[in-house]
Amino acid sequence: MTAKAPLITAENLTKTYPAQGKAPAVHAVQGVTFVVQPGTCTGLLGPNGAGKSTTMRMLMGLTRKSGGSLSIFGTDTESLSRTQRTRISLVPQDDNLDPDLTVAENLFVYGLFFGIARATLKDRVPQLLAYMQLEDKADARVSQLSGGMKRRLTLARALVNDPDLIIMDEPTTGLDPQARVMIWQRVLELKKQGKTILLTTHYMDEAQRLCDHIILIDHGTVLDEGTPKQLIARHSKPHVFDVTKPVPAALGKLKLGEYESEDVGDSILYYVEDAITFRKQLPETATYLHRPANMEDVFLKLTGRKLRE
Amino acid sequence: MRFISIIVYRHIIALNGAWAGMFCNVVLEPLVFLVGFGFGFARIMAGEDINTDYLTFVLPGMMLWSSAATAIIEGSFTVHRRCFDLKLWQAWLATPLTLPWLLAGETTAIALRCFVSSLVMLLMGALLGAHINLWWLAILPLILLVCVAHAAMGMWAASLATKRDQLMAMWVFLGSTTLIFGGALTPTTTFPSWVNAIFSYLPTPHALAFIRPMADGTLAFESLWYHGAMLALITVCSVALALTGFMRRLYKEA
Repeated sequence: MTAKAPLITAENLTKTYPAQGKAPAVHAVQGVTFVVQPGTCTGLLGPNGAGKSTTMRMLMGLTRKSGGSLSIFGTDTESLSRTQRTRISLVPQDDNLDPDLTVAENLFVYGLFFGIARATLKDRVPQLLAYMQLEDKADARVSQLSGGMKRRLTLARALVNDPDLIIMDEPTTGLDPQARVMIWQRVLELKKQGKTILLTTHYMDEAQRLCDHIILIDHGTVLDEGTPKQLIARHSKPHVFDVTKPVPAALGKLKLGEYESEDVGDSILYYVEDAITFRKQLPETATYLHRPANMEDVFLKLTGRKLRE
Repeated sequence: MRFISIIVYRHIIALNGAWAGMFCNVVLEPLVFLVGFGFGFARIMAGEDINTDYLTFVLPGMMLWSSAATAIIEGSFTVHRRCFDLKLWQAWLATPLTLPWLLAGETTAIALRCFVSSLVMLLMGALLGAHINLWWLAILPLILLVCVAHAAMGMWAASLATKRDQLMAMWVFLGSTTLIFGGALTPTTTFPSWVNAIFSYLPTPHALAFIRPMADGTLAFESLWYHGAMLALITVCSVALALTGFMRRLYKEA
């Protein structure tokens, strides 16, 4: 069995925004290295200002890199041919849909930019609208759509060229649970079709559910990467006990000090290897929630709990 | 060329439901100006600087000014909205479309709108009694060139403006001055030479130096090399500035 060539390769990628007036230069990306394998969903996770969106923009050729290399399909992102660019799509953070056009026209005109024939688009646009449950809104203006509908339309727009690589920048931010689940279903279906997906998200449950591989970045550098399971195993114990304060006095007398713990305000989190042994040590009066460790634990451990603007 | 036609197509279908506004902007308002100046103002306008009736004199000026105004507004305010407020350009640039083709498409769409406006004014001018001959048809391509220059100037301003309000300053330096000092209403020979020197950055005085003699059949090509060179220079510089302005704003600083 031969290994497939990576679809995206970033090596020592850097981006520095020049100083503007009194504002100093910003080193948004500082030597990031990663690969994305074809047919996988890779998550690029990090707090605000970590460098995710800048990396995404560099991938789309919307921002020029300052140093290092970044290639898609083995070609530098700034030298991609027109044919190669037709194989890539972007779901941006903002719904930058065309408010002067109808829903169907948005897809139609966008498809024309990819060189798709009008006859093909006349068939494909209704199919995409049906796929995203927007067929009733085909003639509506973008301003008449809800936030969830706009997001679905943005996703439909990204599929109009039947891309091999879909770059999704926070595809479900601000959506209600129903809309999020629908987008998740569509992403999983796209994965099954063999599409390669690179996504950023602030929702760790989303990353854990959708991503085969996760790259954690902060302050413009890669902190760690791996499958969700690998990252959880590497950075957290498998079980988490969320013990509500006030912690019963008896708790302190036990061997709880041996466990890794974290005070998160109204409760204390205990990271535990052996859940049964730990539970036996808890007094009956303790109020707690037991859950498996997840990507959020890993994320907060690696990036800290300090708020980022 | 495919990308230009797509952008023009997009702008045409975007007019669906907005035809009334387009009609007012492109046809009605310029006609109001033409009738107002062509008749009202004409009664007090006479002199040795004008060797024809005032309506015939002011018609090419109004055609140029209304085209320039449309090109400036569309090139600056509308482009700024599409690029920075709506981030629509970023969506388009995530396709195989490239920035030079995007600017070319936007400029072509603006120029076509100006062309329609000019053509309507020409026809109305003829109906109102302006003395028009076949040479006037040669004015139309020249108006397209002036539109490109103004649209590009507007786009350059849009690439620099961090807020749309800042574009009002550009309107004063480009739109209002084109009407007053660009020779649309009065011959530029009525201004002191230093005034004409200051406003030589405007495309319209140079275009009118072609158009007015062309319209009354007194065009002498050998005396027009300066205006021709200036018009070409302004257009090329404006396009280059617009392109570099957006390259910097969208790719270097983004």
